[in-house]
Amino acid sequence: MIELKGVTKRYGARVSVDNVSFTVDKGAFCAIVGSSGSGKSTTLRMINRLIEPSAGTITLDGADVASMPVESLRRRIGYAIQSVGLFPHWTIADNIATVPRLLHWPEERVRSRVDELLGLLQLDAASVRGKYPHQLSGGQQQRVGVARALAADPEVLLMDEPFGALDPITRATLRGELARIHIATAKTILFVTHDIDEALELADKIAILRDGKLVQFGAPVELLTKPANDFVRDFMGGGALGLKLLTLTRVGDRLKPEPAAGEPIAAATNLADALSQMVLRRTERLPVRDAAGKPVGSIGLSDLVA
Amino acid sequence: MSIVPRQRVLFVLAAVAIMCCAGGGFVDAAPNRLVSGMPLALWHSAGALALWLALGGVALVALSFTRSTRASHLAALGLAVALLLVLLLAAGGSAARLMAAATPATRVSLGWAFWTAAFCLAMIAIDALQRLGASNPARLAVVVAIVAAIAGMAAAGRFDALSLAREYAARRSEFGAELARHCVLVAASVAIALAIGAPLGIFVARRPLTAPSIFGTLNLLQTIPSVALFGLLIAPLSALGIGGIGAAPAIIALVLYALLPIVRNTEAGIAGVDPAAIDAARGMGLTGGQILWRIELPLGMPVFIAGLRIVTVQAIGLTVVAALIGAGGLGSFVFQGIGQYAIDLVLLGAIPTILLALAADFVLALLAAFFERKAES
Repeated sequence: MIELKGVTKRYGARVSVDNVSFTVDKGAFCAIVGSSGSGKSTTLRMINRLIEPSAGTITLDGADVASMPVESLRRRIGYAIQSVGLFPHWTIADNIATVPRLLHWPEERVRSRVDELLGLLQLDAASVRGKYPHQLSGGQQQRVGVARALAADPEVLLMDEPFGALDPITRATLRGELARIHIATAKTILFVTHDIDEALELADKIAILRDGKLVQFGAPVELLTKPANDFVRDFMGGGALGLKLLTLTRVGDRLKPEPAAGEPIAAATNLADALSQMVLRRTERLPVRDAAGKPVGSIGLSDLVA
Repeated sequence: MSIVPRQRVLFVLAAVAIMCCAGGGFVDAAPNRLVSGMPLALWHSAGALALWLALGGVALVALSFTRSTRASHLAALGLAVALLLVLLLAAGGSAARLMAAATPATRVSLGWAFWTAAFCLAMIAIDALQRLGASNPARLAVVVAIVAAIAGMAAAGRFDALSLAREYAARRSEFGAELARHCVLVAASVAIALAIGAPLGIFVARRPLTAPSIFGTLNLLQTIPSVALFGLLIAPLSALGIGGIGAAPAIIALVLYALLPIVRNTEAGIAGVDPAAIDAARGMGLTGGQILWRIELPLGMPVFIAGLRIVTVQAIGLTVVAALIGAGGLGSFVFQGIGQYAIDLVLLGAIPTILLALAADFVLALLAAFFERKAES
């Protein structure tokens, strides 16, 4: 659990982060969202003390981070950034092994952990292990960056726009992987992004920052249905708010037993995509199948709004 | 073959070598070591070897009319190296022939045609290596082969009649001592400069605001002429009781000159490291020392070695001047030679200095290439 209480960062007269408080539960995925200069990265970097707050406290599992030795605090927290920052003179295996080696893990355990993580990030361990960062594509480098952040099995993962520099397709793939990793590892993740769709897809809590102030903090549905002010409403998508809301629910949750014709869609599809299919196929009802491909019912246009 | 040479560099160098050897003084013969000699052309003094050299020269010119291929570069390299060795043999042979018919006080020194031809042949060889894209080990092998061949010829007494060798023979024990002293002065000053300069460079990299004042000071030091700096140090050092002449002021001056390149390249090496890598390293909990030793220094090493290379070559040259204040080294031959107007004695100091500088430069270039590969691969 991470708790921020009245956290403030001042640079001279300029207030970069202003009295921000929120709590992220253990195992939660929290997105910190805002436009550039909103203080979102600064907020994140105060958690592992890359930046020291001017006021306020941050606690990790009840202990004030300011009271912990800074290096051992950081070794407990995974850290991945947009520019990845792999060490160019180290192999991929050595890069991933950075924190385990700092913690003096036995070499055998380090090796098996590296292979395990390469597998988790869907990289071919045998071919990638001995390569150097510049031999990998941008997407692969970022996978290695995430693997390195997870290496010593930290309780918390801090990610600063980790997919910001990638092309949309790679980005979408890695987003999916991160969601899968979050479920598989149950890490507490704090994720900085300026992309509200990324936040809606991944996060179960979203903090919206503006000019260093926390404007609203809550679950995605809350932000979409009860935006605190016009800024949040506009930020969440303005007129497309309803469509965004549809992305939060899956077809499987609105099933009807009625039959329907045509190619079935997966139960895991979100309602926005189902609506898109209805429009494309010019039909008001679509058949639905489960993960195994078995027909489980159908969804109708009116079910979307129910 | 075509009407115009296809390989112009090769053509010009070979033609210059041939024209110099055809008309210019290959060796100079003087009745004693203090007067200037009479120039003698290659075909006057060298006998049958002159013919071989002429043939080789013509072959190089002919080669310059062929297309630029690997085979032609290999041929140019082989010919140039062989001709260089024959040229040396011809010089030694000329001297032996002339000495046989003259008084023992007679001195036969190398003439400008020899130096020009030797320079041209060396340039042809270097150019061919460059065009062949020779790897560092291959270059090293060529250099070692040439040095070994020359050493072998020297050991066999092929150059004994040349005045340079006779100057050496007269100062054999002194030469060894001064060469060793030269190396010690260079090594000591470079080592001290590293010990001061590297931490200072790291300091400047950490506090960029200090850069203008530190670089300004070091730049100023660099602009003082070396003779003046050696002179300027005499008074303060005498006052301190260290002694204004000898090794101490020489090393101090050499260190002062070495600081700027070392500090600047250390700073540049560290400043050139990707800030994202540093941010990630800090975020993962590496300490400042770990970041310096594991990330910044290894990644900055190629730039750092480049600075070390400049400094070492510069120190080898400047140490010659340090002989003026009694520090010894190869410079003492140079200044004795100037004092006695004995050019061969000057060369006895100058040539080993140049060879030493080239060797140091070569070794450090190999080292830089090694780190470059490590940092990039």
